[in-house]
Amino acid sequence: MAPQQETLELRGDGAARAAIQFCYHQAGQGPPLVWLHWLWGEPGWMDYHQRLAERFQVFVPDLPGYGQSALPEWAKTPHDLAVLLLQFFDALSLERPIVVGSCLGGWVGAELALLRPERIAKLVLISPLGLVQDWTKVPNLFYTDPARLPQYLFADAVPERASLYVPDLSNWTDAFINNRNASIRLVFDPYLHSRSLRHHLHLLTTPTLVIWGEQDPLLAPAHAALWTASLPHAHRVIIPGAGHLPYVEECEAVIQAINTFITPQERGGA
Amino acid sequence: MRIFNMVLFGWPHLPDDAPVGTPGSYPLSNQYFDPVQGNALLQQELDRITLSDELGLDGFTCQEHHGGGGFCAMVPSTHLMAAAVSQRTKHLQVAVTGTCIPLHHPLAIAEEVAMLDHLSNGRFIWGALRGFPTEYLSYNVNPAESQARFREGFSLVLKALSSEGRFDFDGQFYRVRDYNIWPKPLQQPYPKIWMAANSLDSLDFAVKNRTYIATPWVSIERTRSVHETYYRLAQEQSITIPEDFDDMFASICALYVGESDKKARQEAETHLEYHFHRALASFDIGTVSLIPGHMSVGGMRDWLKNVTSKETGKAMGYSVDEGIENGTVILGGPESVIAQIKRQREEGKRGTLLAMFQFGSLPDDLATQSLRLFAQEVLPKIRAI
Repeated sequence: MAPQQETLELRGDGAARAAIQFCYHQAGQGPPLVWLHWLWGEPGWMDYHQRLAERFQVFVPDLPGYGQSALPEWAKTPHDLAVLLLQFFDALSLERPIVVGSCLGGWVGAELALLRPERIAKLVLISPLGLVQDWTKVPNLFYTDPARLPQYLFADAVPERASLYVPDLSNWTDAFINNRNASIRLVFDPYLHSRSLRHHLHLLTTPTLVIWGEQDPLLAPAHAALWTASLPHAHRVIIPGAGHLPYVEECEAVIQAINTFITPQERGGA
Repeated sequence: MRIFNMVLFGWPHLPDDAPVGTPGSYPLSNQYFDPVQGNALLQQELDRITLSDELGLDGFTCQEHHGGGGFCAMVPSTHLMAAAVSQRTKHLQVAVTGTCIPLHHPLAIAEEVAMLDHLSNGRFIWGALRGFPTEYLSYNVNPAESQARFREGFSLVLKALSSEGRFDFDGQFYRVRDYNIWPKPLQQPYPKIWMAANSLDSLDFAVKNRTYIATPWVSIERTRSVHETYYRLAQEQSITIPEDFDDMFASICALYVGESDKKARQEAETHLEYHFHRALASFDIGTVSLIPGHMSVGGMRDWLKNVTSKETGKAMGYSVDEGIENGTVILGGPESVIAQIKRQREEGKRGTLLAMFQFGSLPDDLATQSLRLFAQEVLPKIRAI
């Protein structure tokens, strides 16, 4: 089933909440699931979205600043994006969706759950940004030879696959340039992390699954332990053979981990 | 035509195996910086600025650059250089072109501008610069905020310089309550201001703020079009252009005078090539320009059209003849140099040349020889141009 592309104009609420535009894809039927994309945005409706849409009503919004979604001037952090996403939830009457967030989206998902734990049924964090052991040792995605970018994201940077997420320089579209511009605004300093998040996480009571690619070249899988140390009830799944976007390289393993977490009785595979 | 001696402090001692134009080569590793050689370079340059004053040049200027890049430059603090020059010279104008506003607190900039104006007895010209995205990475200032910080910081500097009594400032980045700077500048309300404007957007900002223009390292065609655009924008908004705007309309070039065309080329060519192909190329403009946030989507798209990754490093490197043709190089015997300067004025609308008398690997004695020859044979004949 082809996804529907929708644009939503979130109505302002006086001066404090100006109207902003939200763009999203939607497909499938079942419990609502919101997929929050990685740092440079989704290349489109992908196979992992489709797989999830077999069991869920999947919403894939462009985070504010990405794609056609607007980023208000005051919004500068993933926490601010979470505030905006709650408006998005309200507008779509998403009472208690499942939230799956990758990379930047994972960080935003955690902020959402901290803001309104009652609004999220379950939380899946896929190699989330937000906690970093030593940011000076994390590859600099903003200043590097563009040819090296795929090596920072994938366990095996097969060009056909990697170029969807980090196109060759000659194929940089306006949308991709825009998404990079949005990303540096949100996570430049402190680089890819927050100094306060780890001190907030004990308030996060939503059932949480942390998924990490075993060969994540950007944030080593040891980072998964930083999250589970702060979230004692969280589950952790390490995906062999996968990098920073494990659902790209090991789609079925990630889908199975998500399904198992959301519907425990199906443990062992659907 | 007015001539400023612009000091870039390019590093002339780069070994052949130093990374040039390779991705990530900024900042230049300071393993290449020899303290004794560096000190000699600085002192020689200060001597040449003093000589420029004695020989009747119009001014001195320098640019803020960090991490030895992109031009292997040695002036992380233009204000310190200007302070030193103010004490060694009596007549020439002391300029900076300029200060990277978002990398400093605007109040500190205003206070230093006022100090420099007094140190120079009112000979100071301030310059406002946004700087390169790499410099934002190094100082950990978000490149996505560079434009907004530059504009807001500029407003605050002006407000601090011109405010009679205490003022408040409520910005997105800078907030001030109940403060005034001390001292005020000698030139009232504040010294003349050069802005390194090139794009339509930044020219419009310059017009609105009534600043003078110092274009970066660009062609004669480009300065002509910048000049035209500035006049058009001013006219559209009924803004009066300062009387001395044309004389202050400045551009950067490398300048070398020899006894004859042939001799000038023999003496300077390899050093110019070093400047273009090693010092400038060490900048790696390819990777630098890809830092997100600094450019708009449209700006980046246009930039990508012109430069592919294969050309990184060559983006700013061209031959000496191309340099003469596009007006970034003035080279020859006195007569040729006079003719080239005429062309700079007539075709490029340039009224002030920010001329590098030392560039690339040019040795100290040749730079001084060229400066003396210039003052003797060229300067008297270009005053009326």
